[in-house]
Amino acid sequence: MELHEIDYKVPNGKLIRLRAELDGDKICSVKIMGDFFLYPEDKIFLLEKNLIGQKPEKVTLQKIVEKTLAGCEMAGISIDELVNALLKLRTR
Amino acid sequence: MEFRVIDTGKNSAAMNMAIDEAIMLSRIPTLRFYDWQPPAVSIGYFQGMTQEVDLKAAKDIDVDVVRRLTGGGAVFHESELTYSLIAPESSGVVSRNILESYGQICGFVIRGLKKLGIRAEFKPINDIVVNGKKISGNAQTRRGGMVLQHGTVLLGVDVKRMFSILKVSDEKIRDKMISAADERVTSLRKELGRKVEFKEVKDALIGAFELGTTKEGELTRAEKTKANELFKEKYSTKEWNFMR
Repeated sequence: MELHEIDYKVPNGKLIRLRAELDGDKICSVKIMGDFFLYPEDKIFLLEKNLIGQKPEKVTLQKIVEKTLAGCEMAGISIDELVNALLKLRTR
Repeated sequence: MEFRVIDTGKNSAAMNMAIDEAIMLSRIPTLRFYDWQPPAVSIGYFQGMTQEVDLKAAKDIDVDVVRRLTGGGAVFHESELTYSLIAPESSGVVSRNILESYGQICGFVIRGLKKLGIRAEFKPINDIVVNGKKISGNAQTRRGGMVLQHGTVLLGVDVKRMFSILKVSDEKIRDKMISAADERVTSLRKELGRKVEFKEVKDALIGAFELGTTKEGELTRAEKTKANELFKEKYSTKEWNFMR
């Protein structure tokens, strides 16, 4: 199991700070932190839960983030930028 | 709709956050002003406490730490006025569009600053700046049909002290950040060249919030009970503050 810590600054937006544990190419746990805004806030826990066991691949991530955060409002981040941040897990 | 205006004075970080949530739960439209004793760092809902705050440095100089109910970044609360506006979404006072409502509520603060002789501007998403330098940070949440926006107006600022507590891992970056922050952050004292008291700013802001009728009031007994409960069971607990 490997710990990954990634800071991703959204262009013209806020900072996304990821702390994730990966086993090979699978996400075992991930915390999505930062100074952004997401409404309702507690959806972040569901997103973190839904990412467990997944591979950080664009199509997969896009699908999970879109589905989990459907109907949520965001400021300083977006679904695409969350995916971009999570994709950084792949390149580590 | 009538808004209650309250000044809850100085409280600990945990109690300040507990009072904001208690008012939101009571659903009484309120404009609240408050201060922090001891000085405190509040972090945004999504932030990691140990990532953002040098806890040892904070403890050494008796600075409180707390996680907010709202998103956004870490804030060092010392020598400032803090306001919260709590209103039903249906009140029509603030837009249902979140980004738009930041501009709207910050617009009230800007009007208040103008009365003090300061020309400030809204800088999306959630800042107010004077000549490009930040003087106020704001954060909002919405729950159960209620809007809560709280924000700061800096009366004075000690950037070095601020960054001895807000964590920046690399010493080199730290130096850069302090000088950069000096150029990025300002206060009423800096802008007006004199000491500005909490009450002066509060009086300027009260009339600047376009809320219809306002009436001075106090927390209800039920709100105080709820605030005490939230203080004890949420905002002063490790489970909440170190949740992330």
